[in-house]
Amino acid sequence: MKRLLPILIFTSICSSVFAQSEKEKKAYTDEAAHLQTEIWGNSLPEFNATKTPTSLDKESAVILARSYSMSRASNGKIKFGRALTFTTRTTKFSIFHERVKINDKSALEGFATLEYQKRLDQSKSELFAKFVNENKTYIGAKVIKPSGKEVMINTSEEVLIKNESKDQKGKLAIPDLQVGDILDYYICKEDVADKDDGNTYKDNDNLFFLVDEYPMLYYSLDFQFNKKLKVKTIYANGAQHFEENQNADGDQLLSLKLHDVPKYMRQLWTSPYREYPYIEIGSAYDDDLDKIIHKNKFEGNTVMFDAQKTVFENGFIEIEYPYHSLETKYRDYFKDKKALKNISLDSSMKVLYNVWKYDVFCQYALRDLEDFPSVKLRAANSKVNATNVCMVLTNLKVNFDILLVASRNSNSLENVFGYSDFDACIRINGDKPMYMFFDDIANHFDEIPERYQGEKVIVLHPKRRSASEYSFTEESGVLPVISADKNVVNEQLNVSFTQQDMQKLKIGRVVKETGAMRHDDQKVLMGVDDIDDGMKSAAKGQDIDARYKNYIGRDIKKFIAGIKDALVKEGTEKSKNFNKEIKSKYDQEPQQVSDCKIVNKGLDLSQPVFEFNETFVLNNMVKRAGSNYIVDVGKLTGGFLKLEEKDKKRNKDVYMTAARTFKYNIVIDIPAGYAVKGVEELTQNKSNKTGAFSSSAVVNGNKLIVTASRVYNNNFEKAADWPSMVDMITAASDFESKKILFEKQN
Amino acid sequence: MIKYFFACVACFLLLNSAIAHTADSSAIISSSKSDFQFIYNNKSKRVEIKQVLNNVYTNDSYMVTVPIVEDYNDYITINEVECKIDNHTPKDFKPEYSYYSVDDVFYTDSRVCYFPLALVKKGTKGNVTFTETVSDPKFFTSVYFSEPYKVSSKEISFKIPRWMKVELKEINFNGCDIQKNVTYNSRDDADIITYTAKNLPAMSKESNSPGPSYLYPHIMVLCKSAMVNDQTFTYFASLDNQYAWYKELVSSINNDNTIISAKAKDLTANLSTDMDKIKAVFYYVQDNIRYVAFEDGLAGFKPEKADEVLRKKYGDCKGMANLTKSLLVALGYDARLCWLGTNHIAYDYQTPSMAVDNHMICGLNYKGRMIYLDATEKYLGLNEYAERIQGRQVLVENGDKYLLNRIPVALASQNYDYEISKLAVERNSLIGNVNHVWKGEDKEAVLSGLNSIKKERADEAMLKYLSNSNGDYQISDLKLSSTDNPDKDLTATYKVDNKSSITSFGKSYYIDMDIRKELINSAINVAERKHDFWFDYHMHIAKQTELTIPASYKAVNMPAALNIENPDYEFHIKYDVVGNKLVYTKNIIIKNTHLTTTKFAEWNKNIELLAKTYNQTITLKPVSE
Repeated sequence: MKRLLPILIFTSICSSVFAQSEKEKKAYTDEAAHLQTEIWGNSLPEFNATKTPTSLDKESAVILARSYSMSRASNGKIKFGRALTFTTRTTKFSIFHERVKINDKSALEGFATLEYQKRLDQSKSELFAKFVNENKTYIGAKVIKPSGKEVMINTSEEVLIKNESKDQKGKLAIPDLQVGDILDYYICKEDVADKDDGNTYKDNDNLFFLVDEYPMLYYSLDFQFNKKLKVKTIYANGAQHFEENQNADGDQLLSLKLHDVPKYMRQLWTSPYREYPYIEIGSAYDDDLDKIIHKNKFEGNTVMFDAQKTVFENGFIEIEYPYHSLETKYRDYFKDKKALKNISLDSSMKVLYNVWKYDVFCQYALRDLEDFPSVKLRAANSKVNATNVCMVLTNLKVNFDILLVASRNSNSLENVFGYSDFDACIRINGDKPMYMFFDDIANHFDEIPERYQGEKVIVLHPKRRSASEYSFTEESGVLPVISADKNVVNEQLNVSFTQQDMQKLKIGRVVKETGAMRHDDQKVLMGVDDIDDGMKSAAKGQDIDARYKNYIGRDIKKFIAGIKDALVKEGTEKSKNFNKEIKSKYDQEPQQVSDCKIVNKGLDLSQPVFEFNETFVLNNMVKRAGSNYIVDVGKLTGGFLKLEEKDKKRNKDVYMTAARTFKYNIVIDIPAGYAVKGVEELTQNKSNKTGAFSSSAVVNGNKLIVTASRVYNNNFEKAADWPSMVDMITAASDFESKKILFEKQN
Repeated sequence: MIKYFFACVACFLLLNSAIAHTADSSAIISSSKSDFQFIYNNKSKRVEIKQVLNNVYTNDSYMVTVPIVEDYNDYITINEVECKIDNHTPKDFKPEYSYYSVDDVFYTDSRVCYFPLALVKKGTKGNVTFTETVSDPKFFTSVYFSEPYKVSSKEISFKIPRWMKVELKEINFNGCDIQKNVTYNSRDDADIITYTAKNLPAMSKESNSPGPSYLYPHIMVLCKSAMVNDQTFTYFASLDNQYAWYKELVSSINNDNTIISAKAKDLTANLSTDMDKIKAVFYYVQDNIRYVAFEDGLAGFKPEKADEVLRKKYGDCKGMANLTKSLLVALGYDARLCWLGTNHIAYDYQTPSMAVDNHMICGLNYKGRMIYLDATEKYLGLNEYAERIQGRQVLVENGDKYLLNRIPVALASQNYDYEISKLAVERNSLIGNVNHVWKGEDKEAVLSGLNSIKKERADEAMLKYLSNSNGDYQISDLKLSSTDNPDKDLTATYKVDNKSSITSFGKSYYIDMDIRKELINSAINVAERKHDFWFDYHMHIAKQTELTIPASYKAVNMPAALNIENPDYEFHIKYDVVGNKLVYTKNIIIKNTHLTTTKFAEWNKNIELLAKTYNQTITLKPVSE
């Protein structure tokens, strides 16, 4: 396995931007030699270490030392190109240096290859001006044997997997590297660019987790920025701060040194951006965000979030949004002004949401035909859509707020750095709050996607000043967590032994899913045709021909025909989806799959439950004991989560998708001449503050009715409550091994 | 300003699509024409092959993009690429040329020319032509009829001047609608051989299927010699010629024998017997040289210098073979380089061609017997051979001549997965001891898996493997044998507390004697699978579970034995009561690793019987009942 190295950008003196001459090659070689002397000549003691603590002997590899340093300088420049141009010259230089002890073959494979962009020259000339855009990479490596002998690697043994004059990519297999050796290598990147774009925080944003795949004995981060650059940092989850200084030139120096950095532990239900320390650092030259910060006097830890929030607020310019079109479609839904006037707020907002969803998800572009099935997996841009709908609601004089929120699977709201680090939604302030989230096709009106539940929000109250200005007042809040009884998987299984062979079970399965538990199956089992039909019905939308009748274009007829064809094709592929769903649930290939049907699409609140049926035969669920049969009743649920021993202890909080409930009602026909045994073993009832598991079984005539229910009360638990969770998880996973004997009666 | 209403715009990563794409069944090749012409190039003074490859694609759905990909390398040059859609060259037509990443190959001179062919409306015709030159007839080895797409009609023609001696060998034509026509062009004094095929199904990739040379109709082009312009060119008229070329390549290797001798002495310093020394060398190369393949032009055929492989601690099969040979020769043994084709290739040296071999190993002539040493097989011991080379013809270095031998076919006992458990019933659990032995390729599979995992997770991985990921099968006191000596079998012993295999109802126990149930889900989907199924290697799985029947209990409902035996495989399961022990014995033997499609139905029927037998339980009832 190759180890891909991050591309780091450095500044240095740029050489000729055209074909690589002998002079350039020599310059490159000289610079490489100079860097080698600099880097290995100035090594800290940590980069001379050869021993690792015995407690780490069982580790695949140990990072003895890692350092990352980056310097960046940006200055304005005037260029005489086709026009007089004011541009920015940025020079960046970074060094990634690592010293690692290889302890096994897995690590040897991982570290034994370096792959890099050796040179990329995208410079251009315009009349009298040359706009430089070049980057170069220098590598160095040495192997330290257990005896202490150092073997310098000849980097000219690299192969160039791309070798054009302006674009070279290199690959180096490290020779003479074996288990037990230490590999000491570095990658230097220098980058010189004359351009206006690429100077904002968005383009110069680095994030460093202060944990790693391997234990690190020493880790250092060093940054140097010239005084013209603005620098912003986020320290998340207790990350240690940089030590900040200045040199005589006024350059900003940031430095962090860490020892004994722990290994990242792969665990169930974690959210790394919430649980592991990280630093996000960015620099910018002439970024509008700094103007906003300066103008508004933002300061403190949330300065970037405040600035990005202002960008969002400043984006409320009506001419840039097609909200009139959305409003027209909404009004058209009612056909009759009186109906619109008399409708209740929540009903009207449901309609608006459905019209929005239809308008966004049921419009197709030519490129969608290249991979039509994936159209159903699209997600809406929350900020753009929230702004658009906000303008409609303002026109409709609805009382609403805009909420800004961050996903539980990503940074918290306080740690927002970039514009994409938070999302937006709308809260309608009716008798009770109602939410509009602009997310995936499966999301309903007043449904909060699981990743936002329980999260802090900033509540913005908008006020329209003009067509190009909205003002906002704000407060904070918290989104509710939807309870487990709203996120439900409810399965009804009717089970019988097949007539030809009592070791096979015929299963008729009816599944009803609500809330967060719907989304995945909806997107797997439904085709784009189902979604199109469903939303067309919910929003009183149009057939494909009518939908595009006002479009102008030479090939529009072919495009419409293409969409229709693609929708028909979607319809023919569904049985494969059901097969896959059954196989993934029961971990075996089903036989005789039939009666697969989506009963309710669950795309909007008129039919909030997603319901589907299927019938199939499963082998390997029944053991024969003479004339008797033992059914793996517990496995009919598809199984519950089973924890490995190592996962039964944890010190990290538990981030689950949602509070949720799983219910199974299994009705098994008892064949004539048979009685069941073991029914009482299925009765169980356990609960604690984290959740519950219960199961029961009863014989009713010639039916054995088994029920099982598993509830996770919360979407989040503290690490201290993990033992309680383990109890519930174990109770459920124990159920999976439960069996019932069908005993032949004399 | 345009607002993007979707957060994620799907990116069409053309190269990934081009290389890894499963062909869209909405596109077909309505006509395909490949012309091959042998010419003499006066400038370069050599025989070349000019090839013009033309395909016309059409679609039955809207907006179908066909990723066009054409390979080339140091011996094949693309001279020109043409593309027309409905007779017009697309405005944005710009073929890209790039390095081609191949699995398991660190670096190759293989390149690809690629571009998307967008067929927008139904029935669009995309006409693509590549004009190429093959600079050395030795590398012009085969021409396939089949494509990743269905082909309605294909024509392949060869224009062969009478000064060029070429044999066209037809492979896998049976069952295909392929016609042949031969004409003579007197002006050019050349024969024109034209093949026309109709209605060829698309090539399909299936796991465990034979290589393409077994499956698809194609022509092996056996270039033998040419006499043109008062020059004689000898290609592979016979195996002698092929060997001579190989010999010339290897004779120029120039190992640094001083370094090699020193290393050989170091490896065998305290060893006295021949076998110990030979093993020390072989196992050193196996364990210390990583597999890194460079296939760059002629370097793809010439072994790396042995001292370089030693220095780098990496190499490919040729480098490892050369290092093994050189170390053994330095110790005074008669070691040689050997060329062979793995079982991925349908042919052997009966048809001398570059297409017949893809591997190199070391042969050791020891006391009149040839022992083959393949250091790329990391955990196989001396005299153990991987399935992929067993029975294959091998071309052995022998001075100016060569030897043509066969790699021995291993005995059935080479690969062995043997487990013996001695258990007793204790508190609703089966408690006891287990011994496990792996030999041959079974051993190799376990050790390869273990060594690919991070050290700190190896124990956990082994426990998971032994317990079949069954949390109720608790293993303690696991002892794994040392893996330092590939000669030795891999063994594991452990204590087990297995709650998953015993259920009690009333006073009776129901025991499932087999937690592994190998092959239970191995039925083949005959509706979908088109090609034969090849097992990775011969298998012999032998399990014996001995359960002590609790005092005052008896075993009832003894399942009938299963005995399925045919020339290809055997399934034997039986239950015996011996004194107070219930003994479960299972033997699963795959004798023939090639399961043909004609045998799928019988295989599925037997797997069903095997599954039924696996799903039997033994009842232990009180004696009084």
